[in-house]
Amino acid sequence: MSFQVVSRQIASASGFVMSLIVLSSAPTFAGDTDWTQWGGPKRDFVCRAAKNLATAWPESGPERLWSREIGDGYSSILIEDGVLYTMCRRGESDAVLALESKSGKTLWETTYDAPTRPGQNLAFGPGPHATPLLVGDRIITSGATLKINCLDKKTGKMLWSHDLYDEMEGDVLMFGYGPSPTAYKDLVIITVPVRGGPPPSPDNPLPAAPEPKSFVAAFKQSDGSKVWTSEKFTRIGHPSPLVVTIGGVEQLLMQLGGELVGMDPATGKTLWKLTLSGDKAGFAMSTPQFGEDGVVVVSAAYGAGTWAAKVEKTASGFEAKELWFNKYLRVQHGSFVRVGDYVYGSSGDFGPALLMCVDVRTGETRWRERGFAKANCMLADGKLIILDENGDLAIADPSPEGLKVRCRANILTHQAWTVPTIIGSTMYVRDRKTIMALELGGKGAPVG
Amino acid sequence: MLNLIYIVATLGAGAAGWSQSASAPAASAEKTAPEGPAAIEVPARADSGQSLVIAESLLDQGDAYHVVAGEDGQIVVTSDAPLRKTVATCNRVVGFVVVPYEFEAGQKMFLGGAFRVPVASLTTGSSEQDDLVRGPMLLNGAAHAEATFVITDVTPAQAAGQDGEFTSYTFDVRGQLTARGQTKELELPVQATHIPQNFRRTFSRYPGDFVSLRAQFDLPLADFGWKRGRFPSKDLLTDSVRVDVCLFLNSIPPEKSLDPSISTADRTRELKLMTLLRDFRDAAAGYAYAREQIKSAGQNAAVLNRLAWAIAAEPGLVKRDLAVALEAANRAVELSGRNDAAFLDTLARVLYERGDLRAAVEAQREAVAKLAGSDPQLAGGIRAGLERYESEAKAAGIEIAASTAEAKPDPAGSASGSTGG
Repeated sequence: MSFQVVSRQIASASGFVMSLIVLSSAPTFAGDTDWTQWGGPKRDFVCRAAKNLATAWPESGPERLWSREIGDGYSSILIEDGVLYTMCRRGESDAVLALESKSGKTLWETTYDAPTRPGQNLAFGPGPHATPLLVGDRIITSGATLKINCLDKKTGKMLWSHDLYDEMEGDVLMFGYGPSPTAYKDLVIITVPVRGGPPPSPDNPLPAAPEPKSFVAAFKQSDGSKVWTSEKFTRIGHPSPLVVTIGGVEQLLMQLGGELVGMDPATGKTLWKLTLSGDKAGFAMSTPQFGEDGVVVVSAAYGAGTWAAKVEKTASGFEAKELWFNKYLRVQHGSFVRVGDYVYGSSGDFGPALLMCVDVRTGETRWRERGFAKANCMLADGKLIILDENGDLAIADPSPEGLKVRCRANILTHQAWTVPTIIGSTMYVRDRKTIMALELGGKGAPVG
Repeated sequence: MLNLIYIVATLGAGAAGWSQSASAPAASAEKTAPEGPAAIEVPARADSGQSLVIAESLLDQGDAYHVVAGEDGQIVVTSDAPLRKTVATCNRVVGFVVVPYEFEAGQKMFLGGAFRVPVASLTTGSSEQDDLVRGPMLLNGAAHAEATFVITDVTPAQAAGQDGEFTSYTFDVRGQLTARGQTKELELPVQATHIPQNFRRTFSRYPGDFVSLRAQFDLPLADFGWKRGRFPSKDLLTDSVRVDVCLFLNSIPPEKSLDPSISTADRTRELKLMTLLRDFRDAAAGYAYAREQIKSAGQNAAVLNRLAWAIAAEPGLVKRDLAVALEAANRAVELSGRNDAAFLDTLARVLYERGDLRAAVEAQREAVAKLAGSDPQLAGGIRAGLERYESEAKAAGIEIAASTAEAKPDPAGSASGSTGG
């Protein structure tokens, strides 16, 4: 394995002060001015640091502050202290990049060997699919080949690494591993698919009897030493887990196919499980939404749908029960977002997609709209941000009464599957070829 | 009621009608018949030729499913006469149905639908029989290039079984069938099965959700203006033919490529070429269009490469103009600086199809030498191609110098230093 720090232009280029203090910690939530993990501070795709977003753009779309080429991949963009972090593919290697947020200029880039795994299907690209995690002075990454790395976020120097494909007989889930790492105190938590037989096919359907498909492992952020591994589960887990508090108890909330699991993030002990009705969410990929009311909403495509469940603390532990199932909202791999009592998401997989609004209290479909391809949805400055896979970006009003698009423009062209990042009124966004910064706060004439 | 909805919904579809060659009859929206029942409009082919234009008002109400062209046995027409069994098949059906968003048993499964069948695409296995079926005696393809069917109404669907995630329904479809310029109202019992996308059972063939549509019915030829007097013997052709329909329809439009490097516009143009060469078997129009595409491709090597490959390797074309393919392949290779293994592989295939085995081997060796960092599946295919060409060259007694070594992958990653502010 070779590590290469390609470029180091740190202090001179950006002027920020290098910290010599090495601490292990959870993502930096304070002030909500940074975006240090997949899905943002609360992993709910709500940009609390966004403000003053425009409701109209000039005909040319939002102002482009800078734009540059980047390698293949879907990793979303983290930002902290004026530095952007993301990943991309370089040949048979993965690259971790730090860019100056105001210019896009490379501060450092570290590549590591990550050859395609046997049987890994590249139809949707070689990855990386996951988003890194910023904790303390480190950046922790998970690549499509199931290599986990920890780097110094100031220099890109590799600090520790694990190849979980080899070390834990992990699997890359047919199209490449995609869950993003999760921080809990001094731990980084990784879901590990278990390598079994060949992937399912018409001639080789999944075995009737359940067999181990995944487990969860926790490592120390400081040195990568293994702290715990969980029990084995019989379903795979594409969705990234999130740390939530239920009944005053912190826990790791995971969706493993058609099963929801709550786990003690300190020990890996399972606290509760809930099998969703129909058990149809075998290929769920989108990240669950956890509301302040304790309602979990999860969604999956491929003929599945959306479920809501509520988990409550009881005298003997936890009780989880399903509230409703909506078979029409089928979010494939993008983000969906909860705003008040409604979730907004893009339903569809490889064909046409419908933007939909579903009532979290009842599961009732409030509306569906054509007009966008499969899209990511997030909330920023009280507005619904929609980025579809064709690169159409829109700002809309989140309302159960219907979709009202305020402004819309095409900004990307190469499979825009990556959820954008918004800080202030600046959006950082990428596709499989280009990364750019856009000013969303500009004023101009309404678009069409 | 549905009939009215449909008629309203299809108004204006003709404006986007498919522009075909001058030599082939127009296939855009048209009134169906000069005779028979009041004809309704048949939705036009979209620009690609591989889907039909669906009214926005229909799409507001449900999911569209497009016929997956190319499946064998989409339509099988059988005349089982004492002295001759004629079986005409078609695998180039284009069409759609629209299923309501929240469809359930007891409701009408189709809000609308239409299908177009190129007469030139009907095959019997014998050129003599093909000429008979497509010719003036029967379907008269020269005057009426397509047969069409438009759904005007359906009865409520009854659940007819479940197999895992596959749910089947039975109901009657009413519609207008038009062939050789004559329109006939039909009412057909059908079985439709909804098949959600499933990695275990569908994804290996196509992504997307499916509807399958099955129907069998007898069709009296006299209903379409055919007279026995023009075909004397009942021993050779029955008065009524058996029609067996087996269509798979997919929620993903054919113009959408899962490869993000292929734009919908490029895919549309590529499908249009194939529609001319394969569905309508119109070589003159097809290659005129291909030459236009070579000109308009400009510096787009990928477009040129795919065009060359399609002409050289796509099955079922009326003719392979390998001079056109060679021009496109050579341009793609040169535009890439002879550095793209896939483009060189295409050039080799064109040369192979032209019978130039020596040049094919040389081009394919060049492709193999450029495989570093390639997709393993692509690399495997290119190496297999070289084995095939070398083997055939050897069998033909063509002596070619030993192969050069394959380039080794760059261990550091070929583009590791390519970024910059």
